[in-house]
Amino acid sequence: MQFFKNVETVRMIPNPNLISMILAFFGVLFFIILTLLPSIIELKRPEDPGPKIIIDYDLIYLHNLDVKTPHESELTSFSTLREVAAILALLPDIES
Amino acid sequence: MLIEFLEALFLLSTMVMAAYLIRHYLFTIAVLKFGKKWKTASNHGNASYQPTVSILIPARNEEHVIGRLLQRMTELTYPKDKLQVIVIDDASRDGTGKIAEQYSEKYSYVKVIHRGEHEGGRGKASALNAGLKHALGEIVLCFDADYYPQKDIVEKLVKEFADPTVWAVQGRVVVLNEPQNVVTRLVALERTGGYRVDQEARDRLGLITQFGGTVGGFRRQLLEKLGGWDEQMLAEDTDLTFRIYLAGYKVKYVLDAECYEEAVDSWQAYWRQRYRWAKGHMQCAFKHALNLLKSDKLTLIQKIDGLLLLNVYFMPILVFTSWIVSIPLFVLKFCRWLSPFWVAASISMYSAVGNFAPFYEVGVGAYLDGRTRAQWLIPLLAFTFLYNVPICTKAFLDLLFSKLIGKNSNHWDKTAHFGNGNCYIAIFQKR
Repeated sequence: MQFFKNVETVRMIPNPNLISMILAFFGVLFFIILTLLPSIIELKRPEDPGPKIIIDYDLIYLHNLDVKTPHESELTSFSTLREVAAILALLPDIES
Repeated sequence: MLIEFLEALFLLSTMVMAAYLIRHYLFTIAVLKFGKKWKTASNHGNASYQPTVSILIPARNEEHVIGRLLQRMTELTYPKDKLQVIVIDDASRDGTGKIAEQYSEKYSYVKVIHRGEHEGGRGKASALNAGLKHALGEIVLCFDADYYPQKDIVEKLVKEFADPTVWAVQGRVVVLNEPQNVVTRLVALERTGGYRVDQEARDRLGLITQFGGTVGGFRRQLLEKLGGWDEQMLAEDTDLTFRIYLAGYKVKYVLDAECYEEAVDSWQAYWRQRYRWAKGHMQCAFKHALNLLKSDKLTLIQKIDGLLLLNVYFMPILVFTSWIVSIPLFVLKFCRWLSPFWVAASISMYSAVGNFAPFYEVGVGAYLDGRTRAQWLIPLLAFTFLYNVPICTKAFLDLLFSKLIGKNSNHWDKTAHFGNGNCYIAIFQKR
């Protein structure tokens, strides 16, 4: 550690004490929670309609079921579509 | 002496980070500003151009998904008399070969190549090379077994080859099982940034468009000229991309040629996949970096972009190193030439902007896809970045160790697929 002795140091917190440490801790915690809040909300109550629907001309069933078009479908929960898909998969194919 | 070294290391890593930051911002701004114009002007291919096409599908233990893709192959709108589908059953131990055989018996244009234990299981490149020997088409396309393309994807990809300067194409990948869990949702976001913004910008700005190993293809003549895929490489797609550019050809990105993929759905699977990608990319960096700089077929800006692309998996290691270095320099206050203000400012900027610049691409990609709600998950990408630090570090150390002892450690840790996307496809299939 000899080479550190001659270094002129600059302290970012001149006099660290208990209060400043507690404030720093809660400040960081608050920042992290604030940053992650949107993600937590979206994970708890997903409203994203994903996945992106790329097979446009296969959407006849979606239209028949009065589901919103892909661009409007941000309002539609994909979990509903998934349930509909599960039901449709069980139904006999009326065309065959 | 040690302090000077740490200062230099910190400065160097900050400069490299700045280069990536500028690159990501340029891409984001370019797509945001010109994206719509590019999209409307994208009908440059010749839709009536219909050459013969061979589709290679390497498959190893893919019984949960192979039937789904082969069914889709039979539904493609491309003329079947110009189509050849080749399934390479790469020493599968499950029902993959049997399912493929059923399609082969029913459809004359579907062919199955069975590889035994002694020749199969050596990785995707090896399987693709085996398939290439049987390919008769003028154009060779590749799809992974867990993919599910648009019905007219072949037309969309192939029309670009009407331009004689286009020798390879790449389409867009979209995650199918996105709502499954938080891992698939985050992977989907990464894909959105990568394919909606990054690839599009690189293609339109005349930089290095990356062939992603699937949902893309080549003129067969080019593959034969390059000697097929390099079986020694773990990232055979990145390797081929650079071999194409170094040989003076280019890859064209086709944004509207979209295909679903089944993303990894656990952190363990994410680790295995990214470890393979990281190690493969690093292999490519060692192999191509020097040739890239010396190449007389690439412009300076392409060389810079190529270098950044090749070294992208070193970034988590570099960022991690700079964090470590910043502890003695700034927290323990051994840095002599920065005032506390500049230290605070640089660390804030570095952490809040620099490290997370790719997230702006993701945000803009989601916005352009009309997925504003998906943007709410972007803060979680910070965790995937942190998760990538040990992945890339391990990949680098393993590669270094194997190079030191002269041992080739190209074990192909294949991603397992369980057909988790089937329930989402059901809604499209019922017509």
